[in-house]
Amino acid sequence: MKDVKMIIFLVILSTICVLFLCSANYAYQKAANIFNVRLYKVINNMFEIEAKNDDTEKVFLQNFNIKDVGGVTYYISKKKDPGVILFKEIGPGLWSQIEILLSIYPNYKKLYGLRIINQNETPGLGARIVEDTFLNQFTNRSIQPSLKVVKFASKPNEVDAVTGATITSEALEVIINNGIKRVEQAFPEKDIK
Amino acid sequence: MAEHINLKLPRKGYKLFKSKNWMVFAEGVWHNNPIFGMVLGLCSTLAVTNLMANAFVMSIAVTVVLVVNSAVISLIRNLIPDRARMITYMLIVSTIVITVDLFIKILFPKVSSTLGPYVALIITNCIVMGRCEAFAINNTPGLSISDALGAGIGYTFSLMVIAFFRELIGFGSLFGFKVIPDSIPTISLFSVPPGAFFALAIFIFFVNYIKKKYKLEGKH
Repeated sequence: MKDVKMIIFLVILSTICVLFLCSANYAYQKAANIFNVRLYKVINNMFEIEAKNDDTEKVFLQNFNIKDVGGVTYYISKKKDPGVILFKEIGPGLWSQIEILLSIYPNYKKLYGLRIINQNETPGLGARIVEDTFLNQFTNRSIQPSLKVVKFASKPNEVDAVTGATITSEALEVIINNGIKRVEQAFPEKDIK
Repeated sequence: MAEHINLKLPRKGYKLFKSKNWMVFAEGVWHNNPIFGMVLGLCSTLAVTNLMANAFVMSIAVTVVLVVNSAVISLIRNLIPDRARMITYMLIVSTIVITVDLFIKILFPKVSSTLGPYVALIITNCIVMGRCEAFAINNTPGLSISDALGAGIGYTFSLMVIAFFRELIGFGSLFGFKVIPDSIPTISLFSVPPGAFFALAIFIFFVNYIKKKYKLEGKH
């Protein structure tokens, strides 16, 4: 009788634990996906792909391949501008980490564009890196020999820095060039062709 | 029910400091501190104290697991069959730890990747098991929570002190911020696992020295 009681107790307890873990895992999947969907939306906008709120993920997966190399996720365009590689890069800014989305043409000669995912720079100064006028400079910008953020841009591989935000601008330059270096190692040019 | 705990009564003080809850709490923080009192859970202590950020997230995780687990165990203590105590603890601890692990993965993805398997390994942490078996199984939920909180804060205190010195000496930084200029060389021995043994031993030595000198030892 005692053994039966014990078995019943353990069965009930295990059931409760399993149900609890199932719901925890479900919540985790949902929460993890929110970050992904946010990123997909940014990329869709960048490529001017139209998608309704509900099927952002579906439309994104139709248009892009997802590849994991060395623990980093890369997104490769399939339909529009095929071969363009997108990835997130993170690095220190002035106050905290800046997280950017870099996109690059497969011959590594030009940037496709740049978006800021996360930043906490000085409002009104460094935080102006999220403005379109600043970000649009990076579209189709040459990265040979490397990208430079300078005061008065004149060469094809230079962009204008944000006035009054020297450190943020310099930090962004370092993050972008680190990202380019990493993607070149992950996908040597031959692989893509 | 908690007569077996032998505590040193504070002579003077406010009501709070005379309450049983406070004494049980203080016992865990100092006399029966998991690291330098009971010397439990050393594996994860040695592994995660190389950086303060890691030690902080780890100790918060352990504290949360301890408190929730002790509360649950003491709530159902009259239902638990005597012969199935251990398996009951295991089931409840693993459920809580997996949930906490998922939380950390979402809130601190970077720290989670450096902590690696150590958060999941809280399941086998002897502090959690020890508090269940020694206290929560035959005490009320209120007292058990005080006890678990005491052990958790004690663990946090020990980890932060060890991590403070290991990160300062090993990397010259605190919470990732450089505080020692590059011109002063760091001793990288302290940032690698063998250095953890030295750091822990020195820490326990100093705590025991202070205990002896100021007669802060409890009656055992």
